[in-house]
Amino acid sequence: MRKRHAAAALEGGKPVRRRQVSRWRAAFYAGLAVSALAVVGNLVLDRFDATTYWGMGYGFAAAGLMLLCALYAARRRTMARGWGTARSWQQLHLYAGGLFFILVVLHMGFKWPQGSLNQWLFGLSAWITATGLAGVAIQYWIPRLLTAGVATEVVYERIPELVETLRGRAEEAAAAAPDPVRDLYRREIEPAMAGPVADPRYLLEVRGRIAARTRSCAFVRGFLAGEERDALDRLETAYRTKLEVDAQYTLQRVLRGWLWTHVPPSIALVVLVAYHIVVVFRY
Amino acid sequence: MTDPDKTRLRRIEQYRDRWSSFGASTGIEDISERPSAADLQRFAVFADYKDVFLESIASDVSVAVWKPGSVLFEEGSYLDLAFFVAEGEVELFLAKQGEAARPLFDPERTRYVSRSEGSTEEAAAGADRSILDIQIDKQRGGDVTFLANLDLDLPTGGRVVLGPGEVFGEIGALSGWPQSVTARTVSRCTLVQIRVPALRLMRRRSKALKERLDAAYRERALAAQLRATPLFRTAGERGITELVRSVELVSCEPGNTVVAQGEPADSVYLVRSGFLKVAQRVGAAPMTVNYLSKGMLFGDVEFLVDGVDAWTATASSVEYAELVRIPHDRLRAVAGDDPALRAALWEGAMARLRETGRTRRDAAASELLDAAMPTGLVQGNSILVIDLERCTRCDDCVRACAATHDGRPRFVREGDKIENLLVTKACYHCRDPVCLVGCPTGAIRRAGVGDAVAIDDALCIGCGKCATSCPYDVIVMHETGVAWPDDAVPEGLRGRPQQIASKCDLCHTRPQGPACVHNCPNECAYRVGSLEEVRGLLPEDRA
Repeated sequence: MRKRHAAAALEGGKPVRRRQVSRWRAAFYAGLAVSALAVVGNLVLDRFDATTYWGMGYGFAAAGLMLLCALYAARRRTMARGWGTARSWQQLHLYAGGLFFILVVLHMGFKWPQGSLNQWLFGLSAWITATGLAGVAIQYWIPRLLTAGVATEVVYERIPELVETLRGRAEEAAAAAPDPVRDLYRREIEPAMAGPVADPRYLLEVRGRIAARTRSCAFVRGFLAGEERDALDRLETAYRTKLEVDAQYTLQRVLRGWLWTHVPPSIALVVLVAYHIVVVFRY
Repeated sequence: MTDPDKTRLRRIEQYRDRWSSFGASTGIEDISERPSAADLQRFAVFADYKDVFLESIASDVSVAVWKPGSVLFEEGSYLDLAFFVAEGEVELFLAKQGEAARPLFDPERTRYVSRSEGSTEEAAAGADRSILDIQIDKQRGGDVTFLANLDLDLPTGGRVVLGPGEVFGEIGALSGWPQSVTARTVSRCTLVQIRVPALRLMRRRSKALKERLDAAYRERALAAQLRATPLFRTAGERGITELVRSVELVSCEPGNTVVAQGEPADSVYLVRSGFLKVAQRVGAAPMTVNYLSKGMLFGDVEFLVDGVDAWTATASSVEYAELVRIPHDRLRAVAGDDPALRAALWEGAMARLRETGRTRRDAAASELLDAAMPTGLVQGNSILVIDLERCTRCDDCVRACAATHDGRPRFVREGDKIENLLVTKACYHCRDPVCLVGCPTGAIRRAGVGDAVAIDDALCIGCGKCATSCPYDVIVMHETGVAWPDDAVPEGLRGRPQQIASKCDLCHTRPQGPACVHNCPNECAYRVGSLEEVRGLLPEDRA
């Protein structure tokens, strides 16, 4: 979405031009250009193989970038220190990660790796790059889906507490409601109010899904007299809010969950790369 | 059992730093418990009131005996009370005018009336630099005047001595703005200290008191404030004197209608303090088209445009507000001689028309204005706003806040949602911070002369007054896990669990600025200080 201040960022609380992003992108392009030049030089001067100095150069550069990417995690653990903005580090992480995989491919000489360790190393590198890109896509798409789909903003950790409160309200509203509403509550709403529910269909659409789930309330309303509708309204409000909370729960779970596909393999890769270097130079 | 003398000393100790953000030593020899109506009747300032009324305000009045040479308050400190001199003398002077200070509020953030070029230098020129000059220097390049900051127009080295029967501190207290002078006792003084709620009630009950307070304001501050208004900077001394003599001072309570759309317009209003909501009828319903805050002018279009004789909008106060009403004929007399003033008036009027037109054309802009007051967007100097379309809900902002504040975050990522923006429950660092009013130990204060309102943990007694006063629920009380000792003062605290107030302090001691903003990896956390900045964060098609 275009924003009037799309290029504005904050530095010390004051709006300024977003310099960091373009800087890291420029560094990425510079890295690509250097890699391309190295490939040309390599093709002219030597064979394309991991065992040559050229190949080892690509490998060390990739390992260096991998460590640089890992520093982002360290930066997140030293927030009070203020070593550069988090945005800069995130951009460094993204662009260095992209360049890392390109260098891994160059290190392999565009050949399928031989031996299980090398295959694991390549597989993990590819997986981490792919999950990283998936993370970028998820972090772009889900916040927009959440913002457009739900009216309430909920802190993930407080969802169970909120659901419990909503269940109490719904229970209270149902107790004071006429029979058709109580039936509706027992049949459809009560099971849904039991706890947070992750429903993957929210990944596609939020508002339509909630509207579909609350359609039965509109149906029952048609059979009620004026004052009887008040209890149904209260019940429907609690139910609708619970469904919004479910949408938040589902989507925030994805936002958090994808990290499990990215971080543990990254740690494994760092360990395997260290082992790979020792094995190569020792044996 | 605590020695009564020790208790009294502790009470004084507790009040030692009450009104000074610079830690002046205590000067209180004695301070009264709740006075009776008969006690109050002894003082001239209460002579007009009946016993029943005096009993009702007695809890907000205390009588203190101060030692000679005691600093009552200093420049930049916030008072929630006025002093009536019963005995002795008090001197008012400038103590800090030489210090380099940031302007309290960034004038660029509250641009409304356009700049009148060239006039600032003229106004600031002169051998005797008064506080007015300093304030003008601070505001150089800005367009909004901080009227009530100038409650006494003293030249450097100048001093005013007030004796029995005089009232001081009331302008800053009623306006909720910092004091512009330092007050010190010359001799042993008995001072009646009247808190703002009582002062407002007294002013409402007694026409004589209102006239007296207005007269004091007119005499001490109005000329300086008018001279500092961008509009009147070029007006000569004769024009200012004429205005001081002829303007009316208007006090509004929350919800008062100042002018109604369609009624004859005969004056221009200048806002001294508080906020006015400006609404226009669109069909049958009123639509909020603007908010006016301190230093802003209302009624310029009606004054300037021939044929517009009735108010084009309704203006009502949304909180206690103080206004200066300038009748058209008086303004015409001053503006007629001054082309620069007329040009400035036109420029301001055009800006207001543009703003109103934009709001009326765009429903979302009006929605934002409607939400602006209840959510505090018009009040805040530094509001943490999160763009939810880019926020990945990682909570790094909260974690960074906790990491910077000993593991205890000062806000939660919750709040009001306006379009794609989340106005978080983090302190807004209000222009008019009502949380400062009534803190019994002065623990909550402006951190230096800046936007940040911070709490000094060492002084906080956990009374919760600030948390109750905050209209936006951004101050929370934490249990410390410790009970108050047996000799704690006031006695009511003894044995009870100690609490402490906690709120965002804008990381004012952190060179990188607020940790929440600095640690947001998606650059979606913003500190905004005006509605314009909020609008700038809305998607273009909805701004």
